[in-house]
Amino acid sequence: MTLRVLGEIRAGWPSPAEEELIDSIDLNEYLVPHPSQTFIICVKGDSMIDAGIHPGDLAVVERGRKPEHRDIVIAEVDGSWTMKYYELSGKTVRLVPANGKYAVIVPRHELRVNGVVVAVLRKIKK
Amino acid sequence: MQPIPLTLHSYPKAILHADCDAFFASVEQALDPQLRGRPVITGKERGIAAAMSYEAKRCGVTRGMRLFEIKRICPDAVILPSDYETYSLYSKRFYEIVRRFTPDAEEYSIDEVFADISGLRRLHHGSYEEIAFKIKKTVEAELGITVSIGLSLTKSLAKIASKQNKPSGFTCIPGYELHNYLKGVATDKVCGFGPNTVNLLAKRGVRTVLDYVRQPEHFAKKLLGKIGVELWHELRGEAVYPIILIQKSNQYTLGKTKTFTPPSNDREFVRAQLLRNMESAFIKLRRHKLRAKTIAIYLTESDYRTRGLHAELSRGSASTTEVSVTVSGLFDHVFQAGKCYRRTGIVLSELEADIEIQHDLFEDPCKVKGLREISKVIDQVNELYGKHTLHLGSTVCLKSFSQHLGDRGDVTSRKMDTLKGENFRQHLNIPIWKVDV
Repeated sequence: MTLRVLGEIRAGWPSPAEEELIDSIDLNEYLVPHPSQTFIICVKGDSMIDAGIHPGDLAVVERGRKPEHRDIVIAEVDGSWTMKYYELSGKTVRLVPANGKYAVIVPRHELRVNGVVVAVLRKIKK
Repeated sequence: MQPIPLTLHSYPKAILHADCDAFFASVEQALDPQLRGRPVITGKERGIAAAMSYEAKRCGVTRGMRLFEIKRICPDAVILPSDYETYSLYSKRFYEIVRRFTPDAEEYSIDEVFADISGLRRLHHGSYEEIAFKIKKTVEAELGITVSIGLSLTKSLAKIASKQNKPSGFTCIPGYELHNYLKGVATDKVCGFGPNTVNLLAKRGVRTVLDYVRQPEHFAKKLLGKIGVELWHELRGEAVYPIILIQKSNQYTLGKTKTFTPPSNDREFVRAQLLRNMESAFIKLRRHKLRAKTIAIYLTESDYRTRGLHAELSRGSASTTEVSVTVSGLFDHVFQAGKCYRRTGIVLSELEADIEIQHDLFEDPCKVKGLREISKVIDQVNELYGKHTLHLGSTVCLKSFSQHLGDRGDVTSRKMDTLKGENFRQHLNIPIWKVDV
């Protein structure tokens, strides 16, 4: 599937639409910029629900990418896996949920950020 | 006295061999964190261990071991059906990562790559060792599996190097170190020296690779012929074998075979199994725009005895519909009532490009054209709705059969837990990471 970004068209005037056709991006490239390191995770929990990530959604995740402040990451904290906001304050890292029901996680022993979420997919209809 | 080096150069050519560790099992562990650190074995559908994780190897599990024996010596082993779809996706990504560093990469097997990184030091701002290490680290970070890397002057030497310190090995042998290194490597570590060659060399007092390359060239030639000489040069650091960039396109044979459990003595069921293999083979044949002139079939009984027959067609064909009559005829000659069969297979050979049709004297050109049209429709429908959606009437009895009944019939989680919009056969070409979040 291809998404085309077309030029501006003014009603009533002859429009050379083809010439105005700007470069188009494939939906694949748009959602999966680095295919060789991209994985899909089926979301089960609701800890990121206020960030618009619902149970049943598909998270598009890049492995081996360096996390930045406020990225949504897939991390292994003290032995268990979680998806949270990655927040840096000085040298300490906090993993912040997007749901009031859950507490902020401050890693005690070990934190491994295994992936960075780059997109979330929700297919509505087959 | 100091031994004489074989060469004084470091890397006149820099060839690396990258070999993924316990590939299939590692992929399973990378995608399912619950499997990490546990003995994992793939090959459930075949009843034997196809690949095993290092944890399983430590328990004494070896390749080809029967599953019941594995359960005995390693009771907490996780035994999984092979998920070739995901392994292939991983394999492609592995090649792609190596290609990011150099265009000269050879896809040697599903989990091995040879690459020439000569002349790339300035581009990658580092020594050859540093580039090789970066490749290793990139594969490990992005794919979550470990890889063993060997770096040296030729393919044969790189392959010896990658085998050292597996898993996650990293061994670099520059030219001026060859003589020190090779005196510790037995001849059976050389790819190309089988047990017979190793014994033959031992009779002449040649036990290590250094012994071998210290012999004069005519020793290699007299004892082992052309390949002996080629390896003699390779192992001295003089590249003979090139990096092969393009996979051979002219396939000479194309085969499909499938085992089913339990074995069956039902004539029409076994026939359907064979015809399904034929359908798959012809789909592949047409995808490569080829046609076949010779068709061989075989049936394997439950005691592994195998019998077959072959037929030569009056002209090459790529039509499932046309050839099914011939295959069915061959089947009736081979099938024996009362016997139990466990496997069927088909091999197509004398393949040629499927371009102009050459009609033979007695056939109706319209009919042949019609058959081509039918093939086209079959392929288009299956492209749209999944492989084998449109199939021969004789294979209809396979529809609900899952190839293996019982334990071995377990299918991969990728096939069971499909995403919305996927079906049993067609899946998103991105691996699913089974993380609980």
